[in-house]
Amino acid sequence: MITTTHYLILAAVVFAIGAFGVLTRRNLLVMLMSVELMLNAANLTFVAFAKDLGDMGGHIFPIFIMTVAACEVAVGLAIIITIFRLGDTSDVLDLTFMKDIKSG
Amino acid sequence: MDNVIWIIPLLPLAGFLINGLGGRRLPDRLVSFVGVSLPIASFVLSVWAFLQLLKLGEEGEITCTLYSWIFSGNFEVSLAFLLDPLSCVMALVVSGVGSAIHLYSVGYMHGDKSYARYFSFLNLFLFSMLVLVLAEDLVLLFLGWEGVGLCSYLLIGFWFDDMEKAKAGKKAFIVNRIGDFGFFIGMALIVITIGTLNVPGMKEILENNPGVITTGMATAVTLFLFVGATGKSAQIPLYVWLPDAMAGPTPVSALIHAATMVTAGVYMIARLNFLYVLAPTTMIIVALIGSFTALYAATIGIAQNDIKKVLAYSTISQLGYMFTAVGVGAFSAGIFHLMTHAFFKALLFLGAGSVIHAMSGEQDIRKMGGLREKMPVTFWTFLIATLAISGIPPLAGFFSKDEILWKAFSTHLGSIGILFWALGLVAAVVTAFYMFRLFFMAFTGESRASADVKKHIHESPFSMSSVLLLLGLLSAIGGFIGVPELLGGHNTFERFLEPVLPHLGSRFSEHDAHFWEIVLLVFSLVAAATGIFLAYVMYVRRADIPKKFAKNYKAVYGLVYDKYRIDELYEIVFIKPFFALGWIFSGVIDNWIVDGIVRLLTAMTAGLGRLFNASQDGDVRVYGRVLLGGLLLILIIVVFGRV
Amino acid sequence: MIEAIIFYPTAAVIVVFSLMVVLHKSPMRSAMFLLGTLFFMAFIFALLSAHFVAVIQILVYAGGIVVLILFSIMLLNIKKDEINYERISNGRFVTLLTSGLLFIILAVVFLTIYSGSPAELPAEFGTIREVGKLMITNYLFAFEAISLLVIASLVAAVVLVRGLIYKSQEGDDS
Repeated sequence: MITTTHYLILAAVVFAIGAFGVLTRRNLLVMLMSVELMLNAANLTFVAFAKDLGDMGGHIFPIFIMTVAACEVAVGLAIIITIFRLGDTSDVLDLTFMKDIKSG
Repeated sequence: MDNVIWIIPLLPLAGFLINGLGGRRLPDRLVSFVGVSLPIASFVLSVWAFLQLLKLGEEGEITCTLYSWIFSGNFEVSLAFLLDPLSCVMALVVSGVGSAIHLYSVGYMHGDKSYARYFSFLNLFLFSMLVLVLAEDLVLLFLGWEGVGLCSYLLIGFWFDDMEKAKAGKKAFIVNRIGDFGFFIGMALIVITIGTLNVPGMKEILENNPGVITTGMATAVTLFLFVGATGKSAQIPLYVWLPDAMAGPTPVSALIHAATMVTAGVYMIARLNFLYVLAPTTMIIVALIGSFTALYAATIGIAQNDIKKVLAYSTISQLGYMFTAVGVGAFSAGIFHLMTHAFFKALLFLGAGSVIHAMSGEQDIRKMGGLREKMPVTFWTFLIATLAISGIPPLAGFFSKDEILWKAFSTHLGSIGILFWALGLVAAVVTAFYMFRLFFMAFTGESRASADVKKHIHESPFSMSSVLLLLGLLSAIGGFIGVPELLGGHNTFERFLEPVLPHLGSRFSEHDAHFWEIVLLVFSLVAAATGIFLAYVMYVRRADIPKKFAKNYKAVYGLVYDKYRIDELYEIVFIKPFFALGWIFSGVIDNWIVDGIVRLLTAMTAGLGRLFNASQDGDVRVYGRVLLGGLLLILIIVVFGRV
Repeated sequence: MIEAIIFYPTAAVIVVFSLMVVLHKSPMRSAMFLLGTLFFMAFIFALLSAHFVAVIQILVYAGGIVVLILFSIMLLNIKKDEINYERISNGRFVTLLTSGLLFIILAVVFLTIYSGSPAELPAEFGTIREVGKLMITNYLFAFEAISLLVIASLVAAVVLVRGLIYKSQEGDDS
């Protein structure tokens, strides 16, 4: 018997994996992809609850989330490309402009 | 009327402030005027106070309380001055002789580049000394005690450009301080046992309730106080600063190291006589040290060639007499000698100053001589003073010294007094000897000075010679107020001080006393005459004897000349180990341990900083992890807080 | 019953694929795995009667976003040697723990809050018609706001890249 809880646990797993990826990978694009994973897990949670509660709002929200994700990816990719063109790198460890130049 | 006493010390304090703060910009004449007139005013006020005191009769005393200074539990100290016969005598001597010396200084220090500073310090000294003698409470006395020590340092090292002179000042202060430490412990013990440091209060408590302090404790207290006295009044073992103190200007030597400051120890014991009589052991020790010092210092004096050094050792020796007196219980005799000594010792120093001034700074008596024609006033007054100190009647010194010797011999403490008397008698011989040696070598015979110096020899200006004449007069007739009944006098001095300094009685019956007193008188006269005669023979008639003596007994002579090498002994025993200890503390403990702790702290802070540095290294993922961690924390609190 | 047969394998694939996204060295391969993950996610959505959402997922997410990411990867021309740096960074253990902890907390929350009986579903649950109806009525404001957001991000992307275009033009001229 597949209860709502199964879906929720699945969503939690994917979310945790996505979080691990964001905080661990050095490549900017892979980090972006991990963020997408996390957003997806959130979508799954919404839809699972929609079924459980009989509320269609849980279907509307993932649509919005996907839209926002699309916008975010667009802008984010533009930034990454700009960084790449300027610094020739896609490694997050090279982006330390906020750090004081003098410290070691 | 009684509220006026505090003005007596205040006047010289005002002089200190005026000359000290503005003196450099004032013309010398104004500085002199301020610096001399204020002490004279102080003296006039003292005389007036003396007359008021006489009006009050036998048990008269005047107290003047300004305000309550310290109060802590049961212990209270008020800023109060007491004028009784003892402090009155002291105030008169201090302000009188002090004023005279201030006047003398006008001529002596003429042209000095720090003229104003000199007078301001000298006035400050007078203030401190007057506070000391007029204080009603031991704490206030100690204030004055410290103050005169400070002024001694300031004035000894007055010409501090000369390193040797500065060092002399330092030595004086440090040795004094050692004594002061003992004094302070004594005061602390008094507070613990008696409970107050107010002198009349102490007396009352001890009279009504003598069990409050055991004999042992009394001995301890008085001994500690006496340690302070040995420092201030240059007795064994803390006398070593006084000869070095001659580096200061001669009027300073006259005032501080002859007439007044060094007598503070004697005054203190006289003031606390009611405490000292409770500790006969201490009194014996005091008398022993006093009489021994008298002889000891006298022997050093016979080999010195610097005119001021001879007088310095002479001062130490005469102070020994005063301590002998108070040690055997003859407090008023001690004060009497204090007064006469002030007269003739000040005169001797000022006369020496006159000579040095005339001889263009020469202080070695081997280069002097033949000053009679060119400096008559100095010559005759110096002679009077020398006769006085040698104990020749009817000059002042005879009466006071003889009184001490008699009281020592007949002390109620027992036949140990004979020892004190014997030491004092031999010292008297030596005193007469070295004083006349000094006189003969410096003033008589052919002049041994260089031609240059000889040309400049002149009598001192009137401002200086007038003081010499005044002191000469006092040295001559000053003794008459203390003529004992034996010789037909009324012993006025002792009777005046009787309310404060009680008579302790002798070990002889009335009849025996008279007999012995006459015997001792004869002994004293013979002693003085012997000393003078020996000096005459060795330094006037046959001047080759001293040289032969020095050659044949080189070791002994060398030892005496080097003041028994006590300074060197102190250097090895005390000073070098002290410096080594200091080196340990600074080099090892300060450098390694203390600095090490500081360096450890720095390293810890830096290390901690480096640790935290990692959290801000620019890696955004670390920031994210921290965020996540914080989020988890909140979640845990929220979720599991409800469960 | 059927649900279970579909659910468990799909869920397993999703977990495996998402792990590969995060752990694989090559960004290209990661992108492909992401595509797979999103695709199978759509299956799960369908299982949950969210038909419209499932379709939108494939159209927008898989077809749009992942393709965009693929274009960028190819554009940036990440060479093989660039991929060779340390696959997982230093903080991996701590992050693993933290993520694990996150999962545990979420799991606990989910396990405890489940009420019991699922609600009765209306007939047209999850259809386009229902979504459309809600969108125009209850969520109208959000709908309009989203459209504003899309325009904003469009402008932003163009502005960001415009500087580069000029720069490369200058470079070409010389």
